[in-house]
Amino acid sequence: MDTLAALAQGFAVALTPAHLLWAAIGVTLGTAVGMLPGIGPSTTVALLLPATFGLDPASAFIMFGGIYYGAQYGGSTAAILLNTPGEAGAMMTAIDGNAMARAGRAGPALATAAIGSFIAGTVATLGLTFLAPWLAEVALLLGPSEYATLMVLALTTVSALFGASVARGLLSLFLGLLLGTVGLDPQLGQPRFAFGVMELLDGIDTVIVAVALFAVGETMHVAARFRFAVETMHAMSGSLWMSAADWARSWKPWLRGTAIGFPIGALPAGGSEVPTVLSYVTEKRLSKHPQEFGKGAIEGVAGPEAANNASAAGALAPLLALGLPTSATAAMMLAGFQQFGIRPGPLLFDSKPEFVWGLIASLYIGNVMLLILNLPLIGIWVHVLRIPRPWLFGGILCFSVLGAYTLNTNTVDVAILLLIGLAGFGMRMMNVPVVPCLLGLILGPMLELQIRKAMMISLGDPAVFVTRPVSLLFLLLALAFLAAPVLFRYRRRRP
Amino acid sequence: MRKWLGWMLLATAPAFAQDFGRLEMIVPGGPGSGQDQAARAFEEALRAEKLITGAQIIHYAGGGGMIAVSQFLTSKAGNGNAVVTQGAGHLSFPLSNKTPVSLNDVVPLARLAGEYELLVVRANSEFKTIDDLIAKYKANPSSITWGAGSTGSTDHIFYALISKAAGIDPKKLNYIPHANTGDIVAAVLGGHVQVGAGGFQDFAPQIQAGRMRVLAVGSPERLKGIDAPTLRERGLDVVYTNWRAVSAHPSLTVAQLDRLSALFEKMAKSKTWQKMLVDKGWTDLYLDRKGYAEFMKSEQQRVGAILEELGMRAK
Repeated sequence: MDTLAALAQGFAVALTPAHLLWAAIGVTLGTAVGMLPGIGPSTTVALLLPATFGLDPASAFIMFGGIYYGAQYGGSTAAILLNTPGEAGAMMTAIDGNAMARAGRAGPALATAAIGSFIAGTVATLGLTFLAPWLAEVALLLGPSEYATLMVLALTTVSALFGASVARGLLSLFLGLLLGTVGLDPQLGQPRFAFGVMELLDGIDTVIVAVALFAVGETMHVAARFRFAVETMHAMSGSLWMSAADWARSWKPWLRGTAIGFPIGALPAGGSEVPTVLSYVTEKRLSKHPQEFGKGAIEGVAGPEAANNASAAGALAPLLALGLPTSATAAMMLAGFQQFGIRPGPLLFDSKPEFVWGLIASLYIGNVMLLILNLPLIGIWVHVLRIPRPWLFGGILCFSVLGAYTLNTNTVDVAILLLIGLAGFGMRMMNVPVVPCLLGLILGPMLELQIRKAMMISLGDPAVFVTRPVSLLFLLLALAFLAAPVLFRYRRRRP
Repeated sequence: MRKWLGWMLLATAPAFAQDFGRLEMIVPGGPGSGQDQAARAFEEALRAEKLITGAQIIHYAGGGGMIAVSQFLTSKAGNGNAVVTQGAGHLSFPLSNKTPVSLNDVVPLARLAGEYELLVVRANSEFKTIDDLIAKYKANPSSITWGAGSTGSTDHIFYALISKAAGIDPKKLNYIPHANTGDIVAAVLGGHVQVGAGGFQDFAPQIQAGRMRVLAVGSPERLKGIDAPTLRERGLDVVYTNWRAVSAHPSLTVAQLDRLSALFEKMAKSKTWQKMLVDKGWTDLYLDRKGYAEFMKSEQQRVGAILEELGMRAK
């Protein structure tokens, strides 16, 4: 009951009018920056950090917590409406979310994203409240061999996203894996496919590729195909709000997404990409109508959105319990802690309890605020789709280029955006799915790095992948994932 | 005489701020990176001392810092109010990778601060002292996993210098690269690597909580507040710091360079800066224009030689 008493104390800190105001400012700012590709929550926190020097640390961190959670909401709004995922965690949302929006169902898509984010955020914050120290310790036990096999599992599931043609799916996946090898070799430090361009030494940014494949490719596709077509309004048909069927199809993905997102987010090398991918393919596998995925299945929005928010909360567990930053934003918050002379670490819960619990309490409050802020906004956001198509896509292209430039303030990124956008256009024309390419780019380098680390630590003995229990578990899950459809088909055939 | 000079300086200080105006700092790293934090610290100290009216910090991440250097070279010619910041990693990167520009293309102004590298293990590690570690390393070099930042990073070079001092070919290092400080701490705490390296600030919370132990520090003398011997004491002649410094554009006149180096000299000797160093756990490593230039030359030789032994020197 100590935890509850401490949490109550935390609410007492967070519920003062001044702190509520900072939380409101944070969530609003976070929502805004989440929508813009290129300006992520970590940049925002970095830019605001000097401005908060005069504040008391609790106010500053309540605001940062708001920005952190708010950015997840904003990211999904941009992904659904404009097909421009502002951050890596929103990429899976863009697939079905934007398909729903184009089918006139932007309202339910935004609603399931907002409510799913709220539920996942709240459940995961509960998890953070009661499990943070324990979870952080368990996460430490997982090393490179576990991460490597987790990536294998994630890569196996990509096969569920191939669509009609396995060959085209593999083509797309391998293109992504190829793009992922650009940059410095993680082990030897030597450049690969950089062609003497310094900007390529750090590899190709996944957000740029996501925006290029989704937004730029789509824009070119629309421009090429619908030039002479009569403009059709696809703003709104049907209800603005979720129907009973939408609710029935959403609630399980929300909970499953949370269950996948929170523990993976808490891993030091977990991130938001792997849980959102796993959630998406899980929903597709479990769905009674997998054929709808990619064409506007609400589960494909509900699951990944929940997983994304839950992983964001999970990432705070190692930060608060051990002082380990596991995401860019968490790293920024760590720098912020240090600015105020607070050293997050194993002793933080004991040395600054009012601060930690105030921050956790404000995460609950921030989540409620975000729901209150975002639900009414849905009515306004859907009007974005009423903008005439040439203007809308012109605007999207403009935002995309701006975002690509501001990411690292360099023009090489803009060139990469346009080149890969062109490739995305070609892939659309030839019916090659773009999602496997993106996942190859994200998972490939992680898999490579972790396999090589694991092999160096084991002195070249590949047995580590099967002798460590969690590693073996991930490999068996991957195997089950590949074998399940075959087995089901076999059983169905028998009378 | 000295007191008198001090009074004169004090009297002219506000005028100097007006005089200098705004400083532009090009930073090789994104918002929140180590370089960014150093640049913000410079700005804070310079403003508090009323030496400048404000600063504009421009970030160029990537390319081992050389993107920032090349942007600085192309956009700030003749600009006597602009500097580029740099650190130990930016000296070594062009030595192990062929880059179109390097720190040799800019003019050293001042070396300002830094952190001495140190070796850590987790609390229940079999290595109680640095001697235990070196003994095991000598007996079976590949059995030790050394975890730290990316390949060719300051941590990697630190390990290579230790290896060489212990009389073992640095190529035998079983070096496990990590993406960031958080990953390194997690890998050491989780026992996935046996040894970690970095600055004290990276590990301080874990050390204070008794979860990590410092085996040795790479400083010339023992460091205050850290209960560990220096490498030199234990017979390994290695001193290594992750330093922070500033440089100017090669097109500047001598007068412009004098003005800029005077600015940073005043900052480095100010009370505000000295207090900030303590607060941030950094060591004062101030070297003036001449000193920093000489240090660069000798350090490039030392690091170049060790990269050569690692087989990583760019041809």
